[in-house]
Amino acid sequence: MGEREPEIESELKKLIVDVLALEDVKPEDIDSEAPIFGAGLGLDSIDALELALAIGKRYGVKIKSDDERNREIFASVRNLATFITRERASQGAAP
Amino acid sequence: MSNPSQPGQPARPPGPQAPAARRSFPDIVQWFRVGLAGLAFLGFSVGAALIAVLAMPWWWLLHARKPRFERAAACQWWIKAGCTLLHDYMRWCGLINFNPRLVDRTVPAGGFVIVANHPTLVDVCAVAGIYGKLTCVAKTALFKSPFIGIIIRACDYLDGGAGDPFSGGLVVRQGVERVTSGMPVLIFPEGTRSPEGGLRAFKRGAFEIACRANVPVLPVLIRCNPPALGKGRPWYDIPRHASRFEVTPLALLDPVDFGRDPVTMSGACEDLFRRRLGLAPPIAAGSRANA
Repeated sequence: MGEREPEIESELKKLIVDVLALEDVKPEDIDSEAPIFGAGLGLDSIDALELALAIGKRYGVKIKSDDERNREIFASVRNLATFITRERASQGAAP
Repeated sequence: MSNPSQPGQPARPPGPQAPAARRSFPDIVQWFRVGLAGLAFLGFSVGAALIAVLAMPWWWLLHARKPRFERAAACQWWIKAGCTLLHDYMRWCGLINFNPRLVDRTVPAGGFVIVANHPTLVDVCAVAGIYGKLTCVAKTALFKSPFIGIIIRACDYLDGGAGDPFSGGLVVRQGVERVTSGMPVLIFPEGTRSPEGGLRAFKRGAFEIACRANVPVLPVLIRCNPPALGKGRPWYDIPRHASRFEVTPLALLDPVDFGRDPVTMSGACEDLFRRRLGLAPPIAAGSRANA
């Protein structure tokens, strides 16, 4: 619960709003720990794939559709940020 | 519903029946009907096995080098034939009165999305028996089933996934791929069978495909009266008289008329079905929820 939000989290929030064309949601309205799908932002499995593809394009991180961790990865913006940071680190700091 | 002990059910035609026979005779008929229904299920499995074992090798030899969706359409012909035969059998046995040959088969040129309500277990067979060339969504588990799996893979059916977070998105992508290649896609936007005499909220996937690919939606209204083979009703709990089964293709919906917005289109289409089924509009709360 640090005062300063990691940059990647705010980037992700902006990405979510842009990619999914959420009209009545501002990036800063999104809670980093709230669920992205279902109850939270109300996104569904069609949105999930769009978001995964956008993340792949932006960060070079592949998210496989049959990955069993997906439910956990997409649980919140924070989890997603942690996943992306870890994947990029393990890829040896891709350009 | 089953085995009413009192005589004089309202739907029974009044006839000169002996009082003693009145009590036991209809039950024997009903048991016989349940047996015939069981044979329909058995026939479905045996038919699938026969197509997989006898027809598939020929299909493979004849169509192996044809383009992907042309090859799939050739296999879908077998499904159409099998489904028509199943409905013929059920009609001949007086279980469900429906003849796919009598429904108007006019379809738009190119790809389109067929959207239908889902009152019974035999809706796919009815629609496939009418239109023949179409793909539909099947669970991942079905693709692994020995005979059905072979057939639906050859028919290029869409893999609906096993409930993973991306399943909806993958279906949309596969659907867009098919309709843009001129291969129709059938989707039940309720996601599962309708509740008896009702309609579940529509999910937007089917309309997402139509809007992204900019192809029309063909709404197909299905009615079965009295209800049979519905969700939550065991297969042997069949009405005492043949159900009247009707399939009515409605006017095409063009995504452009809805601003190519899948949510708007889905809502309008759901309203259309509700009106035609004589149902009240849904309660506004939670109408935006899509799973």
